[in-house]
Amino acid sequence: MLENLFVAALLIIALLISDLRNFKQADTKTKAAYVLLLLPATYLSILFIFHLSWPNIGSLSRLIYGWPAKQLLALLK
Amino acid sequence: MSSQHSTITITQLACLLSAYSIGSAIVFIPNPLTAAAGNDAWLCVILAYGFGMLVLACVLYLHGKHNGQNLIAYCRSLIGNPLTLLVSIPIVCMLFFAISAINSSIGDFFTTVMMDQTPPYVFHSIGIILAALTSRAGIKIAARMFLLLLVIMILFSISVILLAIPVYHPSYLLPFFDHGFKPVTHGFFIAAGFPFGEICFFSMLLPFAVSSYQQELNKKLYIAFSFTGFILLISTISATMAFGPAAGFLNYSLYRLAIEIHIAELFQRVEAVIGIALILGSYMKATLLLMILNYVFIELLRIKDDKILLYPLALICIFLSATMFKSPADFQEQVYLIWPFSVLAIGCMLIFSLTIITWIKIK
Repeated sequence: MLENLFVAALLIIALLISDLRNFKQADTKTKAAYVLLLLPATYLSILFIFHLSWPNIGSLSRLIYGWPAKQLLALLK
Repeated sequence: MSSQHSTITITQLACLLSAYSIGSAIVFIPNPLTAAAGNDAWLCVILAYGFGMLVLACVLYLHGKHNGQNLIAYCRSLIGNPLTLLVSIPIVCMLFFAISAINSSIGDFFTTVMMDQTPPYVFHSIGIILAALTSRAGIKIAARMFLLLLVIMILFSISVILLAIPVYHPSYLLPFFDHGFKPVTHGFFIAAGFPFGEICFFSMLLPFAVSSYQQELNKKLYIAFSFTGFILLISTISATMAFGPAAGFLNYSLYRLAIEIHIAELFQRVEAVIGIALILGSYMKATLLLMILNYVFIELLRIKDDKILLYPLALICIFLSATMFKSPADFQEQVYLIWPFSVLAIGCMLIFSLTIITWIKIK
């Protein structure tokens, strides 16, 4: 867990520091979009750090496409 | 969008198309096709290539009829802003999935065959950071660099295929339709989704080429896509001839083929070099998909700065790569069942629908 925490912190700090100047100069809409994209990044970083099996984009894809895909596969097999 | 001032030549765009289509497919195809269709996997590639050409034809038709706009722009003009936003949600999710799956597969490849003591997050983070830095450099820089990387990847792949000739058994290609035609349709479904159907997203990058030469653009992109089909076809045929039915159980087919190369007791263990060359393709595809995702967001939100969202997108993709797949079986299901279905049902259907709407409006 500590190893993953260190890696996540390193990545987040490095990528955000390099964007700091551009973020300050950006307009309100861009700043809002930037912060909005950081929300899923934060959620996923928590999953990564604590090795959690919480819902992910894979489970969302399976929920939406899983049943029709399996029905199509049953037709093709 | 400030990058509209950044244009690339049509030849560079054609190379990007080849890099995008061959990309990660050269590493993973034909394993799933042979698992599905046995020795008829090469037929699946041909059929999927035909389907891909149809999608490409629609993409180029839309590009020509809408004055060189990208997918989101002409989607907005054809079906309105609210429907475009609605349709963009699954497209964005699919792009996140694709980038993360490619990145995850780079990590799996290295930790499986070369560096099994290294934690996968090393490859996940380096892969996406590289893709993000390349995207930030701009499409011009990426196009120039990818031309060279594409040549290296193709040269190494063809060298492996030619050097492995002594291990081929052409009899492994027979009999045709051993289990009927249904396995071929299953293989076609997989190949049509990955990689041939993914051309639907490439329409986001078409505006970067000089749009006044539509005929030349069409010709060169068709040639580039046909080249992709040729490379994947010979890769599939060579893997089938070398391993027969076992090709369905051996992943990283071209890498496994390289392991079999033994010439005069001196020329052996060349798989490390081909491994690096193969991963170049995955890196190029991840970079192009990240660019496409970035431009989708920029077009949807009408943001002026075309580089600012790259790092948050990269962060999401890094952590997605590390957490998305719970097991190899999960990877198999998501990449070879869910992904092809979503590409066909969402991406390709969107392109076909927009083509029909455009054709009706012009009539």
